[in-house]
Formats: sequence, structure tokens, C-alpha cells
Amino acid sequence: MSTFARVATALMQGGFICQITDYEGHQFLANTVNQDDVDHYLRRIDLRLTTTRDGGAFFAARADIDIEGKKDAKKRFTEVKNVLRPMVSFLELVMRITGDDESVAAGQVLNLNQMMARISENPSLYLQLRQTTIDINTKDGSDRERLNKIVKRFQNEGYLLLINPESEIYIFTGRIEWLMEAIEYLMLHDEISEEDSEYDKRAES
Amino acid sequence: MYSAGYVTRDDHNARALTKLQQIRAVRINAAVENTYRLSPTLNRLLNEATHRARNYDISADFGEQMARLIKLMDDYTDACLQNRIEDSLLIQGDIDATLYEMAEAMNDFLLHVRTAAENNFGNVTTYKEKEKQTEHYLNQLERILKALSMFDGEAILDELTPPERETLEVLYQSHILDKLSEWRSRTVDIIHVLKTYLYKIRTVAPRARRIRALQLYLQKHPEYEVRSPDEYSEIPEWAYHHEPLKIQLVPDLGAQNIRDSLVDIAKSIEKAVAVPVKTRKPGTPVDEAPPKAALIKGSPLVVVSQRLLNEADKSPTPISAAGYFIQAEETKVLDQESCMMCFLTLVEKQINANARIIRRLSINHVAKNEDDTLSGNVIIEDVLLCQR
Repeated sequence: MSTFARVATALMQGGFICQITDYEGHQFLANTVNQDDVDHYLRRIDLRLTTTRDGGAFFAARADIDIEGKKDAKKRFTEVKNVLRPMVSFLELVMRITGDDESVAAGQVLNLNQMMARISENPSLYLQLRQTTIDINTKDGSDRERLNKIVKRFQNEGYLLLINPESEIYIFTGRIEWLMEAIEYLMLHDEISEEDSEYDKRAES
Repeated sequence: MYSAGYVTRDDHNARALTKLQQIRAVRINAAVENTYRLSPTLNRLLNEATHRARNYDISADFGEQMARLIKLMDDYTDACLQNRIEDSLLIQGDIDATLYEMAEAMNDFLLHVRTAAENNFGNVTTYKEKEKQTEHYLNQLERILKALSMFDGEAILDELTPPERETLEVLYQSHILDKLSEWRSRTVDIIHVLKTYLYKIRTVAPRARRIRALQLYLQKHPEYEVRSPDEYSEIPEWAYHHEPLKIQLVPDLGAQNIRDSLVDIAKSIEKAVAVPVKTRKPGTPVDEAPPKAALIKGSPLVVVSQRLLNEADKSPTPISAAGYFIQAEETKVLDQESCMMCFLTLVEKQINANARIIRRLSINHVAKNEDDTLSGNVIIEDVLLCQR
């Protein structure tokens, strides 16, 4: 299968083409000639090629932004509504565990074993894990099973990619950029303050 | 006490301050009344001695020093040509000092920026200030790169070519040119570190802050839910991500080449004997008569014989078997002699088997020809049975 065919098929199937999920495909789409080519092809089925704000991930969007576009937008808002609480809680948990604000960006590695070790050492992290599992309606099982379920869900939704099944090492995909944009939009339009009182204290420390 | 950049004059320090002002160590602070501040020269000296870092402290402006260097070299040439040896030596010393200062300034600058970058500009607390400093030093480093290319540029190298400037060329080589490649490499390294850090500050930090703030908000507002897109003023680009299409490929059997390919694929598949799997249907209860085996009864003669034995077991008075067979419903229609013969055979078998019922009974045979003892035949016409 040619790169064009692979990329076009993945886009039609709702995929996000980023350097993590398909490096070659992303390089292919980074070329403006190929971009136009794929976009032209997608427009014949009422879709168009677009990208996250910083160009980290390409995806197909509705060409018609009035009727069909609004229908899809409703579905995407519902999707964000369902994933928002557990995802934000999970991302914040990862940042707390790693102590690195950059740890929840595309291409960042997530080591489940290390994560679990840190959670078991810290009751506060443990509580947050429990809250996250409640948000995704998964209460049963051990802490490890809960963590696995959370990660599995985000893997199924395309935010994480399992790169080492034996060591249970995942990597954040470019789709996380999409979610970050959604979060930024919601905070701006729902007038949720971005001020984090703990933030500057952390910077000082 | 000297704080916030000045000291206030009072009765205790008035004399001392006057003396310091006379030797130009302190100056009157025009900004705040009745206060003094350190002279800039002394301030610089103290900063140097205490390693105090100041924002934008080090400048990358080597243009001025280069201009001074060229002017000194011209003076040196004039002194040499006019055979003013002392002047030329003096100027050579100045040039040596200038080159040394330039080299040290470059080293200090690179070290300072590298340290600040590695420490994420720890001397300032807010991310906004860190971003400003990063931008400033990136700008300075760009200028450094230009200065470095100026250091080994044609213009300056041409200036060093005249024969009388041979000594200067040696100085320039040792102070500047020998260190140039190292400075370039360090500068490029620092630019990379700063650009990465700037990206982090501009993109990662606001994003992380947003996640933390939203997490806090969601905890405080459990009722919060994302609204329908109609309720927002505009639909953002990310929301137009289309509903995934389900794509299924089906072989076109109308095309000969596809059929041929499928034949090849079919041939490559290993033959396997298909074993049909029998599925047993679950049973249902059937409402039917009991099985025939349960209906099997003994012959009428056996049943009556057994009944007779049972009754005799309970009877203290003898019961006549012949009379019993005649009275019984099952046997009264049968041939009585045959009945008796069968009964005798049955009793004999029971006796042989040492059956319990027989052991409890008293059995007396009644012979027909009892009186005719010489006849040779004993004809049994009845059997009398009772309990022992």
C-alpha cells in the first residue's frame, strides 16, 4: 500500500497522523504538495485535511461546516464531555508523579511500572488514582488493575500508544494536542480561570 | 543599613557618609530624599566579588571593542613606522589587554548564559520574567554568532597582514582565533538549550497550568459539564473532526485477475478435514406412561403361590394349597393338577435355595394314594402350609 493510500485510509477512519503513530505518514503530509493532494482527495467525499494548531497531528475534518459539520461537532463535544474529567485527572496525576510539566505532551513516554511504584508510595496519588477510576466507572480490582484500565481506555481512544508490552511502556500520541486545544477552548469560553495559585510557588521552588 | 539600593542618612551615619561621598564611593540618591547609593564602579566591583547575578548583566556587544582594537592597531602601525619603539610597546600592551578582555568577556558571557539556562533562570521567580530573559539572551547569542564570524572575517585578518603587525597577529591568534571553534560550539549548544527552554515556557508551562487549574475547577464544581456546541459562540476547528468511516474491502469477483489471485490464495491454504460439530439439543420432559419393564408381572400361578406362602407364614392353621388355587381368581380357571405340579416345583426350588419364607413354614404333603403304599407312585393331591 502506498503512503498516500495508507494515510488517506487512516484519515477517513478518523485517525490522527502524527510522528508517533505514523512517522512516515506525518513526513508525507508535512510536504505541502502531498497535503494538497490528500486534501483534494478527501474533499471529494466532503472531508478536508486539517491539523492541530502546532501541526503535530493531521486529521480529517468535515468540509461542510454548516450541517454535517455541526452534527460532527456535537459528537466531538460529547466525546470531550465523556473524557474530560478522567483525562484531566490522569494528566495531572502523571505531571505530579513525574514532576515534569512536559510529561503529558506528544512523544513523552509513560512507564506504568514506575508510575505504580510512585502511587503506592504516596497516599495522595493513590486517592487521585481512585478518583480517576470512579470517573471512568471502574471501581473494581486492585490499584494496578485500575491503573491498567485507565491507561487501556486512553489507549483505545488513541491518546496513548503501547510501545513495549513487556515493560508496559506507553507513549503519548499527537492526539493529545487535539485534547489540549479542546481544554483551552472550554476554559476560555466557560470562563474557567487559568490561574493556578500553586503554579508560581512551584516555579519559585 | 544599605537595602533596596540605598542607605538613609541619619545622625549615626551622617559623618561616615560624608567621608564616603568625598572619596566618591557613594553618591546622593536623587530618587529618594536624604539617601545615598554606591557609585556604579564600586557596585560593579562588589557584584564581581560576591558573584551576584544581575538580569541582562552581561552584554554581547563586542563591536565597540573591535573598533577600539582596530584603532589601536592603526596607532601601533604609525608608531612602528615612525620608529617610536616605546609607544609601539605601550600600544602592543594595550592591544594584548584588549584581546585578553575580549576573550575573557566571551568566556564569562557563555558561562553565565549557560549556567542561567541550565538553572532555568533561577534568579527570577515568574515564568514571564524567565521568558523575557530567555528571549534577551537568545538575541545576545545571535549577536555573538555574528561577532564570532567577525573575529575570523576577512576584514580583521587583512588588518593583521602587514609585516609590522606580525606580533599582533600572534597575540590575536592565541587570544581569539585558537578559541573560536570552541566558542562557536558552546554558543550553538546554548542556543539549542535556550530555544528548547523557550518552547517549554511558551507552550508547556501554560498547558500544564491549564490542566492543573481545570483539575482544581472540576473538583470544586462536580456539576460542571461540557455544553452543546450550539451554546458556544463559535465552533472550533478541532470539533470538526469527522465521525470515523468504517471501511471494508471486498474482493471484486467479477475481475479475472482478482479471481486468479484468490485461487492462488486458496491453494496456499492447508487442507483441513472439516469435522461437523454436532450440537445436541437440550432435552424436554416427556409426559408418557412408565416404561414397560415396570409392568412385567409374574405369571398368575407364581403370584398366587407367593401370596399363599405369605399368608401361610402368618397362619397358625394349615392352609390347603389345592383349596387356595381353586379359590384364587387368577388360578381357578386353570387346570388344578398343573397348578399343583407347578406349585410343588416352586416349593422345591425355594427349599433348594433355602429361602427365608420356606424356613419359616411347616409344609406337609397330602398324597392321594397314601393307603396304597405298594403302588410305587406317590401322587400329591394337596400341600398343607402353616407357620412353624
